[in-house]
Amino acid sequence: MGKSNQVLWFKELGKEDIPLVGGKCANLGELTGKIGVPVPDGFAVTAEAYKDLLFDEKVKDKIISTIMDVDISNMEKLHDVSIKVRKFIEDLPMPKKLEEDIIAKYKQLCKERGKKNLPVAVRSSATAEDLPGASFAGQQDTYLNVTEKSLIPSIKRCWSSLFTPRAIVYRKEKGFSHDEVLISVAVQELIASKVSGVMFTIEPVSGQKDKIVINASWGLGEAVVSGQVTPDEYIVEKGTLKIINKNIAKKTKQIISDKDGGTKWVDVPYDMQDIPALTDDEIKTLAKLGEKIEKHYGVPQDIEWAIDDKGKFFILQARPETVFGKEVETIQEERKDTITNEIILKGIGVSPGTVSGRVKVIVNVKDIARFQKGDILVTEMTTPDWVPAMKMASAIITNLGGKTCHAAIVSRELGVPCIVGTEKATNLLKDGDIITVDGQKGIIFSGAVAEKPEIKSEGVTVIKESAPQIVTATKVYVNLSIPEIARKIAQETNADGVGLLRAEHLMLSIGKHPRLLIEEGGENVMIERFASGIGQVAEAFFPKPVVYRFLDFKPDEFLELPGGEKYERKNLGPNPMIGYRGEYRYAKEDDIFRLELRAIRKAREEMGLTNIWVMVPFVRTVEIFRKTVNIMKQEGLDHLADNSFQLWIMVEVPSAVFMIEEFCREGIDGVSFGTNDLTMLVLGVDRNDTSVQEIYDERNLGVLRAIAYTMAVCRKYGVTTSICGQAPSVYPDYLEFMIRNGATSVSVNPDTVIATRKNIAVLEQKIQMEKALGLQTRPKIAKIPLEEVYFWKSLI
Amino acid sequence: MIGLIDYISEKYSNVVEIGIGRYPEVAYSLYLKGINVIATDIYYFSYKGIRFFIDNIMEPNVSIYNGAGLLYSIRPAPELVIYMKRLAKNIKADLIVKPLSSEFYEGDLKRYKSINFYLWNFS
Repeated sequence: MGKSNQVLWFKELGKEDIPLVGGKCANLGELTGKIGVPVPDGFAVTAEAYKDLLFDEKVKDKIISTIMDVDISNMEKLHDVSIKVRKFIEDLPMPKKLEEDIIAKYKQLCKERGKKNLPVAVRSSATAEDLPGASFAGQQDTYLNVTEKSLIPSIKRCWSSLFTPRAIVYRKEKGFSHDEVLISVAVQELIASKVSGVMFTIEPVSGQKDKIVINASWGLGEAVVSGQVTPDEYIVEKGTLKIINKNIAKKTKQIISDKDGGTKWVDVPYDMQDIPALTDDEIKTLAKLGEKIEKHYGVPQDIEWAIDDKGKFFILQARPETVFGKEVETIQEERKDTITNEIILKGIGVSPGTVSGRVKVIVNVKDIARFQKGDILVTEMTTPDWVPAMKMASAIITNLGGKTCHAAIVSRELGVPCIVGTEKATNLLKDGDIITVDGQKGIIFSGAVAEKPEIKSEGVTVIKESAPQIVTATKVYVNLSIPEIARKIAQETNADGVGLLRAEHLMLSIGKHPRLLIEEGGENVMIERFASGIGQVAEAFFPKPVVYRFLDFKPDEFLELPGGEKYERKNLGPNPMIGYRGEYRYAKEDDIFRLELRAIRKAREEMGLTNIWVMVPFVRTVEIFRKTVNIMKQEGLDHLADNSFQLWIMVEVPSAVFMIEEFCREGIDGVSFGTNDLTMLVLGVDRNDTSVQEIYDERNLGVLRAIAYTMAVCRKYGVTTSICGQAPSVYPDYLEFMIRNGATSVSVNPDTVIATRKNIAVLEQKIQMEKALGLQTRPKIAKIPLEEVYFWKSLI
Repeated sequence: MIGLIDYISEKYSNVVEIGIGRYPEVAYSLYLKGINVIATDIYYFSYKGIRFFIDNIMEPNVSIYNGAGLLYSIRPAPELVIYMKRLAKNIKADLIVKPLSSEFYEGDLKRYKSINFYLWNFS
């Protein structure tokens, strides 16, 4: 953009300015300039200004050194460090030129609005808000009813809000370094709203895209956004703008501007408490604005709006709706069975799912340490400070709020059933009560009905009816790379487990070379991310096995990640496919390997997911393999001592074929054939060289002999055999070849699991019939009789 | 990725990148070359002028992709490629997959200016 100014009007900004002014300010610019909806005027103090002050070497060093070693699990210390850093930032003198620019813009704003001391809202706008998977919404501060006197301190407080305990923890968990996330500040005319609220251009609970839901209450919008009141709810049909439902709540309190600055709660006049906050015309005007904004962005929107005392409409903020924005299919979840237990309370169901559990009532966020994983959280209303407890909750119930409040939005993001607006849950429910929560219908039943949460696919898609199970002797595993689809795949395919869980896409989702991550002190980020990803898959398939294959990036792939040039260039040889890769790296750079091992251990021991097994890729020599196993033992993963833990190797390199006996004697539990690499290396065909592709054939006699021999030796040692390449799905005779040679399992892509299982059932039956009837058959693969494959038999 | 960017920009004017993740390099380079680029992912992503839609390729909103001459994906999860092929075939668009170097597909392996990728012609 070439903009170097540190203070810019909203009208100068657009979506492309997110790096400079953060998502919130850039969206306000987009709304003002490109969409043309009414937005209260204002300006952004850009990230450049923040950088100018906070990236001064001395200042930066002081901040980094203060927070570098903080243990994020020690809330007390974290809190102290946060206070120290925030005070340090707030005490820094504002650069003179910047202060003058800010005050000049503020005065111009006052002049344009014809008011001497125009009240403004000062809100933070973090530049990481729009990084995928890193919704910073609500993570930073907002100051309302600010005037010239308190403007500069409020801006500094917004800057320092990047260092609240929850923001520090969030960055550490998500793997952002503290100087990677910048902050801009929006200074915007504060609308003295008569009525305000939130509008979703989608039904946020069911995901119906043909509806607009408007929540409205008296006074400033913070009351609705934070869920501290139960607002009116209006549902409008898109296109026709027909109002199809109205639910008028009793609105007893509102937030208004305090004449001394800031805001205050006051009672709503009695005669206004029960009347609708919006007229039909106002509802339709708002819905029309919502449609316009959604049309511009192309995805459903979560919009904050206000109407002033003269009846003028304003859009205060718009951002993509965070749950169903991701989904295509509409959820129309209805329980097929009917719960007959006593109904003890009703509210507004805002996050579907039915769960039974033990009540934990917590009124003050300071007491969330008392909250145990799996409890049902019962409270007045949640704020961002409650998120740690919400993540552990099996369900959430609040006294206040509507479909668009904090508890509703976050619970939907987390996939946790939630009921808001019950009015009296904290009084009626007691610690230890066993209840059942129906987050779709908004009903709380006494006693336990559901045993576990209804299975949802992390807000991605809806689960279809399970595939009918055919029993086969050969197990059918599935290959997976991304944890997000694990539940869906587990449910839809009924696979017997995961035969190959790839690590590479987990690494891609972190988005950095692991050595760069380590340099930035992000070891825990990798451990946490891997443990959580692997755990997500293992939980979805529990108790069926999940075979995690350790990271096997090749140097050319590592090179493409941030940090790759610095750390990987030296490892890049002429042919990365047979270069510095596989288990050889683990012995050479055991610090990275140990992070994977710690993640596995964490998932197995802390999450109780003992169905996680591991597989070592690209095994070349027994000596390196022994080093790998030793490192695993040092990290507490000993496959010889722990009966529940299996260690497999990938057979991809011909040396592993010819030394399979030696590897079996090392105590491996299983092998899996990676037919891509095995074929490449047996035939000497570089799969990335287009000139030799026609020679590549997984059914070449040489490849088949390698596989059959390995399986024969494994059978002798009781080592299981599997295949995770695509050959059995592509060639039916390949599947027969594997089964006739006694494969314990095959692992295929999700879309072929059901067909593969059917094919296996037919083949197993056929082989049984042959045996029962004493039939002599000459099975072939790719026209090669099997006896030709067993080359070693003729030598004995 | 220069070879891939050049290949796409020389042959297509309307393209969709499936699963952009955190890597806008190719889409943004195409955008700067004047190609009409849309990006999708299951997680929200925003980068400069790239038009973005949240979409799940396993159950795609076809209206996002209609009119594209090419769908492409960089280092996708292998299990998703089947869904990309289905969609490309359905809307009669070509498909390019640039996989991790040890992942292979039944497709036409192309090499262009030192970059390998798979191409399926459905247009």
